[in-house]
Amino acid sequence: MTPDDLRASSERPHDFASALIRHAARRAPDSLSQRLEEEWLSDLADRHGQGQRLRLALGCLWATRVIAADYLALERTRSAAAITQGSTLALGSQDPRLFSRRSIFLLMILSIHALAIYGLISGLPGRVVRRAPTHNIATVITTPEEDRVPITPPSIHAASLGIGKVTDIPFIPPVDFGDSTDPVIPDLPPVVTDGVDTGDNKLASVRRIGGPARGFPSTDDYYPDASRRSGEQGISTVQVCVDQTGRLTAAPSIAQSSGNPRLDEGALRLAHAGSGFYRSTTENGQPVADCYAFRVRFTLAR
Amino acid sequence: MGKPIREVRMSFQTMKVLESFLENPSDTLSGADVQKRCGLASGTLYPILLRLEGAGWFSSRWESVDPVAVGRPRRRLYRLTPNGLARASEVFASFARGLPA
Repeated sequence: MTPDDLRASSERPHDFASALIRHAARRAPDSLSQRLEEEWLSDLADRHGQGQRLRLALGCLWATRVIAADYLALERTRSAAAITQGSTLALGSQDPRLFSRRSIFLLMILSIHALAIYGLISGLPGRVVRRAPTHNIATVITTPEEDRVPITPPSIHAASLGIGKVTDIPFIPPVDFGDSTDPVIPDLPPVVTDGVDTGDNKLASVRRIGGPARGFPSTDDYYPDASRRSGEQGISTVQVCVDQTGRLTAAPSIAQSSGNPRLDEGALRLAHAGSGFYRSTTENGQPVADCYAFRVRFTLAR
Repeated sequence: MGKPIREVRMSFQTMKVLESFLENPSDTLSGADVQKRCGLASGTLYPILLRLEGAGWFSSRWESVDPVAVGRPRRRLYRLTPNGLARASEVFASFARGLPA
């Protein structure tokens, strides 16, 4: 029976499954190609559902490879003379290690599943999750007056301006940014004044110490992962020098260590990343370059 | 099929194919018939049929019909050879639990 006859006798000559079977049969050894095509097409005629037909055709594609591999294995066991006398097989494109690769692939899949199941049974993921805190809270806090690092005198002084001596004034509460949602920001350094009316109606300079402002990075993003896993907490005091625009003019430094190098490092990275988001120190309302310290608190939620 | 493949690996699937023929050893079955009986996928079934035929357990022939008249290609029909019947019986005898009821 010729291929044309087969097409003429097929129920669905343009069916995709039929095309797949013809393709599969052409890839079979030459001595079997014709036979397999007719045999498989006849079996295909017994299948009526499109899904069944497609499944048969896909199976034939696989069968072709297996049959070719069988033939190749057989040929390898024969002598070279027997090969030349036997039927010529079109096996050039077949992979003799087909089963090995398939077996290895299946073994890999089984191994991965076995590992996953073992992990679930042994509770390994649970232990990992328990070790890593699910929440953490890190805040930038103000430096108390008594802990405040000595501040480099600004370029403008009341005395030099001749407007009176500098005296302390009461503490002014932190600035409220209102709509700020960053949990780091509400606890900003307070506004501090270093000068006030001297009593003889000559106004001294009024100095407000700067600090992290709105938009300052969240300490949560700079909490060292290793510290978070180890449950390390602490407060680092960072010294920064900031210009009138809120940008750092020098690399931040640790004024008072938290006692943990990792946390100190995180605080320094935070301070560095916040360049441009510092509120400048002001004197008489005018921003000035200044150096000041603020504290960074790393705490983990329970 | 050309030169016979002499060794037949007796896998579970191979035994299912043999079992399909042992229901009535005189039956001649097409691949589709065997598949209905044993439920194997075509990718597994056809290589087994060819191996068993190559080993001399099965003989095969084309169905004696006119494809044009019946409107489909001819079926390839397989049948257990006497040698195949004896060998298959030995196999199932050695696996008593696998014997057909």
